Amino acid sequence: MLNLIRKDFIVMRSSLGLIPLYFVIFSIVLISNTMSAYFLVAVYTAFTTLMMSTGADVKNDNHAFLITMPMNRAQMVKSKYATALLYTGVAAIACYIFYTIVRYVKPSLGMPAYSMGQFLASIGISLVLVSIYLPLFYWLSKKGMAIINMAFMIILIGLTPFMNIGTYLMHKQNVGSINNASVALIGLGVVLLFIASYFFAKYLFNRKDL
Amino acid sequence: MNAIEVRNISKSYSQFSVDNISLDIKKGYITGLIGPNGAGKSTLIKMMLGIVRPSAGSIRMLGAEMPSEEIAIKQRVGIVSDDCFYYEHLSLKDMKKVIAPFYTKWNETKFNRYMEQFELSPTKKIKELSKGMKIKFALAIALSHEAELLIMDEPTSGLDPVFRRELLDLLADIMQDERNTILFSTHITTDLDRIADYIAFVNRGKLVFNDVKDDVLDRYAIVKGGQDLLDADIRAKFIGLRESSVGFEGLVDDRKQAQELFGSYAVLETPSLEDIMYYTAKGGPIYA
Amino acid sequence: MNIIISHASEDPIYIQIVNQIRHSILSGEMKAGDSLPSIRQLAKDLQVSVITTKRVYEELEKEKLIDSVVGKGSFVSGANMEFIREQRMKLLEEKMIEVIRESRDLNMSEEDVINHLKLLFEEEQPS
Repeated sequence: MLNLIRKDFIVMRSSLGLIPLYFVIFSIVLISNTMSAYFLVAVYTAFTTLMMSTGADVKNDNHAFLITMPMNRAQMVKSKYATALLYTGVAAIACYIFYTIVRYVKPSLGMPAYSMGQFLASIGISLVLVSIYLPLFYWLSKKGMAIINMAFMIILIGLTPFMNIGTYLMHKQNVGSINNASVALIGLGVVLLFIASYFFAKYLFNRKDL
Repeated sequence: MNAIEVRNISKSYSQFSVDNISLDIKKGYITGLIGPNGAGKSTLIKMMLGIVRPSAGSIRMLGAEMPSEEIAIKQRVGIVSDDCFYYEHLSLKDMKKVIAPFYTKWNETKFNRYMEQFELSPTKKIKELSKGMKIKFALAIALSHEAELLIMDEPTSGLDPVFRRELLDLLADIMQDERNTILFSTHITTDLDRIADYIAFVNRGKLVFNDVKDDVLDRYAIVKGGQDLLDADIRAKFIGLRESSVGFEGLVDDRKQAQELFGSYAVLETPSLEDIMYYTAKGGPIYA
Repeated sequence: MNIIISHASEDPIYIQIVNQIRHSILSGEMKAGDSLPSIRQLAKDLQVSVITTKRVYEELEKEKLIDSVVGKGSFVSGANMEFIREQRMKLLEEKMIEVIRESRDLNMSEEDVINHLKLLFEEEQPS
């Protein structure tokens, strides 16, 4: 499986430079608004990277090539989910670090501290999106994916205003209204969704002609 | 001993189907898989490799079941295909870096030797390669991990006749070791006329025969003669028949019978595989 | 040993090969104990199927002209030396008969022929 993950990086090598660029662009767009859900930068960056990776797979007819090598379809799906997790985790951490540095360097902006809630939300929302996206990827053909990618870009763009309204409403009410129990429950739900998504994607991919 | 055992494989598409094919590919020999375009050869091979899922039937390769044991099987299989799905923007060296780690028996020395022999530069990008060079690269890879089974799907369609001959020599070298097996699917049958040991002929999704090549060429005959020799009964004996104003030429699958029938009134010739493919594909019922 | 096959010939390829190897052995070009190329090597050299060369060697074995040892290869048989010698004698006799006929056309007597032969024997000293 490590080989497959490494393959993703070799293949995307030339475009890997774009990712920090995206990160910076997203950050500039979102950080100016202190009420905004800055943590969405992590979601955007992680998901854009994933779309680059699936895009490369489709463009190169990767699956038909990979399956001729000593691996099975389960491994291909597993590695893709693993890289999605990787992107999510790295993006979430990078986001936190970047935000904290900016806050430290420019106290005049009066940015509130990056909360644990935001950090978890960045991971949670990414995982939910991935859980819906990847089974579609393993089910649809080239043409289908083009449509799906557009649909998800629209969803991503719509996330920012959606989150803005959401966090505004939360601040208007009791900020501490979300207690630990609900967070844990939501977290568990997200993890279960991710795992279920993996098995579903495996099932879909197993039956597909490449 | 069979390198590949196909049992009752079927697959339906809207335009055509592979219909209940069973065949064995014998270990230690070169088997040519021939048939006109669209006959189902590629689909059959794709099902062997796990690219396409059959609607029915089973496949065993090198003694193990596909697809449950596909990882172990594919360690020992080398594949050269007309659809080379390599990453176009990578260099040959990088592409090898992607592929080699998957194989436990990767032999870097052998690979470099083949790259030299085929005159391939490792720094060239895949998109800069001609069709022929891509095939050569695929071959270098396929031969560098101690594969016992080499599956080649239309490997020569883009190649010039010079390299095609060199390829046949290369394959003969590989077959010096009797543990190796080659399955060579092509519609350019002249490549197989000489070196193939067995021939499997697929036409319209069905298996016409899978037999020793020498026996096939002995059994079939091309008959050439004058119009006056034909009547309804005799026409029925032909697998395919081409009549013109100056005579007829046709294929029969029983040479001895044709010799008795026509005697010295007609010319009997040994057919080429192309003749057999042509006449069978053009006319007559399928020999099951 | 040279083997030249013609794809245009009437005879099946394996017959051509059998004939040429047989001739090579009977004419003494190949001696008892000489090794023959392996089945696969021969197939590669002639660019024919391995099954063809297998049949060739099977046929030659049936005629007791060669012996195959598993793991070692195939060798010209020593066991059939008598038969081989007989064959060569036959060929020689045919040549002798031809000499006699030819000499008659040239009006040579039996004595003339024998004297001529003696002269030639002296010239043809083994080198």
